[in-house]
Amino acid sequence: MIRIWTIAKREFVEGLRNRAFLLGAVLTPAILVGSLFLPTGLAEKLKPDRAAIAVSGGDRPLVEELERRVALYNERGVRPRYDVERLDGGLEAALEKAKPRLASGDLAVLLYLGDRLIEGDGTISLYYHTAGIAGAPKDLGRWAGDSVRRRRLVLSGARPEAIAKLDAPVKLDTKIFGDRGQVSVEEAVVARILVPVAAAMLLFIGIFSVSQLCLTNLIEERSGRVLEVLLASVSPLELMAGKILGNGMLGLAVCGFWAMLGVHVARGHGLAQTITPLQFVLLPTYFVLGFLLFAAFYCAAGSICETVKGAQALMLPLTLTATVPLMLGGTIAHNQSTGLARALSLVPPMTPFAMMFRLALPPGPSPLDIALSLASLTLGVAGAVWAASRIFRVGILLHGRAPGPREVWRWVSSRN
Amino acid sequence: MEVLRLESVQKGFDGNVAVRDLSWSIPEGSVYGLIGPNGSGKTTTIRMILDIFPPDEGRISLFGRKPDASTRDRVGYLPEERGLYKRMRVKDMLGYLGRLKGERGAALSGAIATWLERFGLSSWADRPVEDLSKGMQQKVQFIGTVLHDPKLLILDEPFSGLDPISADLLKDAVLELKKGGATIIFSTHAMEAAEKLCDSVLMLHRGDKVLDGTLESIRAEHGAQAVTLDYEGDGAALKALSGVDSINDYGKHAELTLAAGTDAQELLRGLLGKLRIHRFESRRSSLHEIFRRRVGGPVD
Repeated sequence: MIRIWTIAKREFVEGLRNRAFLLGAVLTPAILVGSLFLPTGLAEKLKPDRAAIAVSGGDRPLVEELERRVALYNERGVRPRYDVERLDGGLEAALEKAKPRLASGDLAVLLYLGDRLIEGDGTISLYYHTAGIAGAPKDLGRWAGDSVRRRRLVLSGARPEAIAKLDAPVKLDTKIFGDRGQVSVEEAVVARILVPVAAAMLLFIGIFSVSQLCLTNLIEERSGRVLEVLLASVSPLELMAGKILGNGMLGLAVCGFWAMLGVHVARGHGLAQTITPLQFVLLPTYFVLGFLLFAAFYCAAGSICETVKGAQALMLPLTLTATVPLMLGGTIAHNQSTGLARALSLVPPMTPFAMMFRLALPPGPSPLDIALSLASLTLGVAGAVWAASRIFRVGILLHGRAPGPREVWRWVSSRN
Repeated sequence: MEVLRLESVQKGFDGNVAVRDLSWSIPEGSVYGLIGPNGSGKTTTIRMILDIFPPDEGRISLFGRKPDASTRDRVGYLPEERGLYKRMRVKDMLGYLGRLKGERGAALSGAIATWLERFGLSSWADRPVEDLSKGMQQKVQFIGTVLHDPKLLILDEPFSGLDPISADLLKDAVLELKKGGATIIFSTHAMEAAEKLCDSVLMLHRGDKVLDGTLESIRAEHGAQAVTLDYEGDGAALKALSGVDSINDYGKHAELTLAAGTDAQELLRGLLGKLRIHRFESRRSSLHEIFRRRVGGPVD
């Protein structure tokens, strides 16, 4: 045990001295948060200050009514502000003029107010080009429809006060309730989407970056011929155990740092209640079990491959399998207790990530689901460590040609 | 007293036998040569002794028991393929190797300082291993092997890559350890080096034991009268000689193994007039020659 601890301590200390790893540990949460928030923020920043809307068809009062609604929108100060341009001469002529401008992005949209709209059987048409569609107002169709309805009321002889009353905006007040009372829309989005995604992603990144470190260290030791020196002092199993323990401690330290950072940020934004105590207990549990599973496989791969590339290629199917819960995140977020979500929680390479996702989604999985997932993951870990240790002890000293699947199977199944 | 005993040990990989039915016993305090060409089974034998992998058949007894973690602590092993962590500082690297052998605290620090001083590496203690020359790294590797004062020292090609001065330094250290009571297994394919350093040798060839015993007993049993000569002239004259078992002719230098009953003086007389002889030395066969005669082919 002392030897295992000596190896573990070295792995831990060398990991902490590894600048690339430390940089990754610090930058990962920043990149993750950035990747969640940046698309929205960036899209807002990239919007132009002004954009043009061309209107064709319709009579003057209808177009003026539409302009009034656009002006009301512009008063909100949201980017971009819209300028309405009239294009005369019918739809064909308007399209001919508008097409090059739509293609260049100079014009966001062409709105055509068809004949007999007031009478009730005309059509409003919107013409976009992919170049400018991002800058077009998404409510333009509704504004045009509201303008038509208002014109109908005016022409029907309704009193202006009655029209004003009908047209007055209706205030909307949304209330969302969580497990511990009412929450804001922002909190609901964080609880429903951001926390599950962040928890599963952090677990994924934590497990794979540290398992990867295990692998690169092992390959370095193989190519640097240090392994045989070490094996004169420790058994192959002690070596593997020390590596897994040391890197596991490193991973726990990194994940602990991320978790503390997450709590600090959540508290700073008044969102601390979106993170539950159960998540705090189960995050390290799933991390440890998930890490043991993948580190065992990575150690086995590192013991039979001469290069990091070769070992990564060997591990690719397993890595891809582990990403399935992340790819199906939308489905799980919709309902975390579906058969699919529960099935994913019982397949060891996917268990930690599926469960972190589900745990972060209120009301969370049942105690039975948690117990079953932990049991299946523990069994998976036991099997993986057993098989990996048998591959490791033989593969570790082989050089040259990588063994084939049959040979590896013989190592695993041999009685010796 | 025996330090190591192997009884009918066998090991194979993928259907190929690496070591076949090997029995071997090493008395305490001896310097035993484990010799044989590349691929003869030396490294496999060492790995079984170190319990890196078990034999398929047979028994190994080290310090009177089956090899395990406790016996491993009493063994120092310098593998042929040297390897150190390049970015680790020299004293940290040695400290790590010492701790893996169960050494701790002041005793370990003291041993590191003493050995570094002895090999002239004290000023390099705080430098990373990658700053050291290859020869210096080999010295550090050797220090890592002997730090814990092993009772059995296994050296696999310890002098390869060393300059003559460093090789002498290392040889002296090995002999001093022997004087201190350590038993030494010296694994090499360079038989001349084994001949100079060892009391006894075990010779392997393609996994089989070819010879085992003290140098004297091997020479007495398997050696023959041999002649070394330096000459000028047509080497075909050597091939025409009678009473010669084998000739190793280099053009100006030749080594001849004589058949039983052949008189070296008669041989010399037969050569005079045919070749110009600069040196003629009558001696017993070297290990290299004995090996060649035993396996009937060149040493790989």
